[in-house]
Amino acid sequence: MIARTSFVKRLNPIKLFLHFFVVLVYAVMLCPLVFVIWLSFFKDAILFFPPSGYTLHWYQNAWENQAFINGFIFSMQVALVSAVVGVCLGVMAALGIIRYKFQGNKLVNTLLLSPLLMPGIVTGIAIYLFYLRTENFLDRDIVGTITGLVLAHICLTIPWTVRLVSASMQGLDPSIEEAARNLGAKGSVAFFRITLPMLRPAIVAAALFSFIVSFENLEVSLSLVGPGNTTLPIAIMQYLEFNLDPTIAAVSTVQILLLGVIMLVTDRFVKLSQVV
Amino acid sequence: MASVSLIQLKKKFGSALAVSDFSLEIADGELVAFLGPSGCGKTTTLRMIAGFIDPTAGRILIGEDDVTALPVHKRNTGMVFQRYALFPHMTVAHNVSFGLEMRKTPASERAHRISLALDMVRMTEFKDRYPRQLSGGQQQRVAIARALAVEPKVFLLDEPLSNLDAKLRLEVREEIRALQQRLGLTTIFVTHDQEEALAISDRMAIMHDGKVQQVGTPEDLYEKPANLFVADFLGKMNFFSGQQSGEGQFRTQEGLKLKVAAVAADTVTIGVRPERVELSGEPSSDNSVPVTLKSFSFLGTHIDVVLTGAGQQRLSCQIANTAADRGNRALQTGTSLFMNFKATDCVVFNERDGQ
Repeated sequence: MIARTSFVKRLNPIKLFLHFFVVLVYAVMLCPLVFVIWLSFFKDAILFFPPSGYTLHWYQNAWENQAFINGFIFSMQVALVSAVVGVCLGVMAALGIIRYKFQGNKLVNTLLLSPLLMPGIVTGIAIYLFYLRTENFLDRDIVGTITGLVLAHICLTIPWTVRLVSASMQGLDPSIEEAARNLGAKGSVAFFRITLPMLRPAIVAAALFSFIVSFENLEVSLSLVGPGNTTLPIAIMQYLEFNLDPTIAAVSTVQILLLGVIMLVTDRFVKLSQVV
Repeated sequence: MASVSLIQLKKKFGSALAVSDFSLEIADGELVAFLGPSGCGKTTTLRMIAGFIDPTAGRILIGEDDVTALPVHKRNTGMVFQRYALFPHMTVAHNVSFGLEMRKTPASERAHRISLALDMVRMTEFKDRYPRQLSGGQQQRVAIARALAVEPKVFLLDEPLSNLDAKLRLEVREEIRALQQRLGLTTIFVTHDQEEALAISDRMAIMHDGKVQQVGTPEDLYEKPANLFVADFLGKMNFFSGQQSGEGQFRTQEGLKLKVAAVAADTVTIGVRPERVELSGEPSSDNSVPVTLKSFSFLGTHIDVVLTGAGQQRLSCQIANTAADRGNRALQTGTSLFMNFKATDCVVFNERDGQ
């Protein structure tokens, strides 16, 4: 009798719907990932269901494709530099916005977050046109250079840092830094030894997001890369123009696994779920 | 330790005067409480002494040194904050160590001083814990150890007990007082809790609207309040408006004649503490004011009685919950009684009661 009651209780329609909805959301989110990984093992060059067999051939194919290898290395480099520089600038910006109540404080904040609101392709073209003008003005190449590309990516990474770090900074008790100064620490010592370590989770999360945003960016890079400097997403797109085999799925799987590992490792040291 | 002198200290935020002309001498080893309602300027004054706020005018001396222009980290004060303000990413021992490291104390001596400081607040066994693993009372003890480990010249406490629950508040309060007396610490204790201030301080300064109302020992302030604000803020008081009507005589607005020992020509208000009056069916003593019992509440140690006097004046009286009085407890609302009190228990003021 008791068991029956609890069973009936558990079948409460609202709860049931909630559970169903949660499962549905997860399914929708994970479905593409699962399919990409699954497809990467299909034997057939032209996709169809059910596959006639499974193979690791496409991974070998991807490995032997110089464009992917070069793209991967180049993307890594660009993402690393963009993340490091973007995080440094973003932390300084967040610090300024939160600590100093200057005129136009809100405006600067909105401006720094605006790259998030703009369609990537628009940002890409805007930056491209801006670079062209600047090239004329400075009389030197910018479009197609690594510096040009990295600068554009830094713009994309800054909003993440500003958002995460300023949120974290707002939650800090200002008396903690005051206590450090009271104990004899100069302003800068108090900042580096007390405030910055307290912001560490937010900064690590910001670095991670910045890295990912830069690494997988296609739209902005598209108009800015030069010959010989192709990012991985662009290499993938170029391959897709002439081929439709599961090599792309294999490359994507490697990328998914790599980013997944980075996230898991980071989470071991800093609980990302608490920051984001 | 050292003495502290505040000389005509003043702080303006924009056009708002937060602290005006605050002058006070705090002796070496003395505990002075700054007491007042929120926004009275007590915390602003403390933060000026610590160096977090620059005074608009005036000077601050610690010992013989003028520290008015000295930055926070060079003032050598030890501050304890309301919300503990421990460094969350450091263990208890590292928290205490921080100030010593800033002073470049050699590592060998540091360990010794850390254990001394933690012993002092009975937190030695928690030295490897992180602040989040400690209760509020323990965190505040660590904060006290951290502030004292550097042997500051002045010990500053900014509402250190406000975040603790009632029982702990008493415990930490007694601990602070015991430490302060044992080590002879020159201490400034900011609080809005009058009981706290009365219990702990050698002297207290009552502040209101940025102005110091009165400075003195707890007994002085309670027994001889300088003005109506102090009288009303520190404990309760019944007020009667009127004027002197002869030698030792006072006539209230309602026409009551009262005997008041200290009455003077400029006296316009007299006051008497609720615990100094007696309720009785008969007039007796020097003064008897006819009243009607409005309500009463039993508070354990005593009973608070609210009375209505002539002209609907609200008066109050405290009856101690003692064995002798117990038979007398047949209190009933609406009863007509007499509020009896002595001429010597009346306090005189030369300003009018605003209520």
